[in-house]
Amino acid sequence: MKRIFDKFLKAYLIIIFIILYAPIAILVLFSFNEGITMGGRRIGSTVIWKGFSLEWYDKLLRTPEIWTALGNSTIIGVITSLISAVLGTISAYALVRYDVKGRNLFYIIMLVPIIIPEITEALSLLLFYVLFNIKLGLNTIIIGHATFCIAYVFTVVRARLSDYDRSLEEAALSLGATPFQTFTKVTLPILAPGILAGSLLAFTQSFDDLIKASFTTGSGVITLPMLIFSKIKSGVSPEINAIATITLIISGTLAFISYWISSRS
Amino acid sequence: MLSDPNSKLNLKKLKGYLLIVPTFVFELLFFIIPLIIVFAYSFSKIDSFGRITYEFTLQNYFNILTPEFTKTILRTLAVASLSTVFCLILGYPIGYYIGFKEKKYQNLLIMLIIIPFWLSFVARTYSIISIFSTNGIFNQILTLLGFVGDKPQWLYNWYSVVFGMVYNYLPMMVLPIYASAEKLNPQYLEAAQSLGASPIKVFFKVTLPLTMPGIFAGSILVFIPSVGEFLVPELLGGIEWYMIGNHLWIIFLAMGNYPLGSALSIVLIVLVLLITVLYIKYFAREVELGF
Repeated sequence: MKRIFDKFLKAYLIIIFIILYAPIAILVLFSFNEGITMGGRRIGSTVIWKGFSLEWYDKLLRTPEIWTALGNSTIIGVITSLISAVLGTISAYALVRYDVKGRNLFYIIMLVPIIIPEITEALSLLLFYVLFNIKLGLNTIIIGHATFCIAYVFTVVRARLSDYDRSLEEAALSLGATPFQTFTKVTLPILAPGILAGSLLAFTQSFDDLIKASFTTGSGVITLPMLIFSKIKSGVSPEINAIATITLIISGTLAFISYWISSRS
Repeated sequence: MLSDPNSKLNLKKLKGYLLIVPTFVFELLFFIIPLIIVFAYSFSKIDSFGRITYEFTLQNYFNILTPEFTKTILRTLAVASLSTVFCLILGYPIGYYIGFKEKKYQNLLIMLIIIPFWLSFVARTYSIISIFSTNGIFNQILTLLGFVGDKPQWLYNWYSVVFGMVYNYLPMMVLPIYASAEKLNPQYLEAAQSLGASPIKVFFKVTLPLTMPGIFAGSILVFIPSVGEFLVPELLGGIEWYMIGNHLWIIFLAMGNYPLGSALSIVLIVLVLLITVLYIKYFAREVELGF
């Protein structure tokens, strides 16, 4: 009875994995679909297989707006994860190591993004920018992303700080190292994998974000998810599959490295 | 060197505050204050030229009470609740199964559950279009299996929206359930069984109550993003199945009617908070968010 039940659950799990991964696999597959010429334009199907071809990737390479969007998303992601790394690390360090008042208030602020929908955060930031006449562009997107990405670094670093051996720091201090030296030579190297894992995750979250970027962008600044979204609105095409595949590879690889770093240490 | 222990203590405290202040100010400035601004804007006026005047009015909230918006709000709550229930039904056996697996398989299986969640949300939602479009893969499979006749339109329905939600948010349900199942001591189950309880009774009397914190946390983690969802109804639902998020997008980015949009988003926030608080108060006394 129990064995049958176990087999049943196993089969169920396999079906769930197929449902989770099949759409992604099909998306990637059809990014390599051959197109046909119709009315002087190359068009292609995302559901009927014609043959293997790299033409959509070739087209991407020659489309400047893709490169601009990829560049913008990368710049936003890198700066966002740098801000998150610094602010997330120092605030986690302060909360674990120092007896600061208002600790609970801070935790609540870090948790609120989880309990209010992202779109309300996005539109509230837009109103803030409009009210204070802040010029919309790359900077305003970066700020919007950092407000929710700090929590990723904060959570990972706080966990590492809570369960690590402080005697190493005490040893360094008793051997004559200054507190600053102790921090840079002992504490930081121990925290480094956590900071890196959190920052990579912050990068992928920023890199894949559509909502906040759409609300806080200005003067024609377009990110990769925004570009994919606007292209989907004007009709599906293997070209979109190709751009989507590239974003899947980038964020998937970084998230995997992040996971690998944090599970190894 | 003699130093006053009190001043040393204060210096240490001061350092702690210095380290926390930058993040605190950042979140206050770009996260908390903007939310207060939305609240203020929701009581402001807009004239026919689109100019906003800061005069107190409740008109924006009255405008939300119109049938069109009320319908949207009810539709949003229905879709989000249904998605949460489906995630629970589909996700519970997964979390349960992985939670009782040997440690070496657990990490791998949980990673397989999380991986899709790391991947671009836009790309994942887009991938469903090709599966369920009229000539899509799903209908092709149906034809291969011998179903002939009119190809059904799977997209732009409530079930395609719910499918999209479940597809995207299932990991949020599985993770906390897995966490609570993994902590469950198998000896409890053995004890209940050796005392003569049937497997079904063991499940309802022991396993289910002990995994409740995971169920509660998972439900909250699925419900909240579903209520505020924009992309899934936009791509898989269409205008007929627009939710609050889609209206907020149009009101803010196409119409520029900030007062009305602010009022609608305040309604959304209040609904989410109210439902979450009531849910925790009456059902979920122990919520473990699992992080």
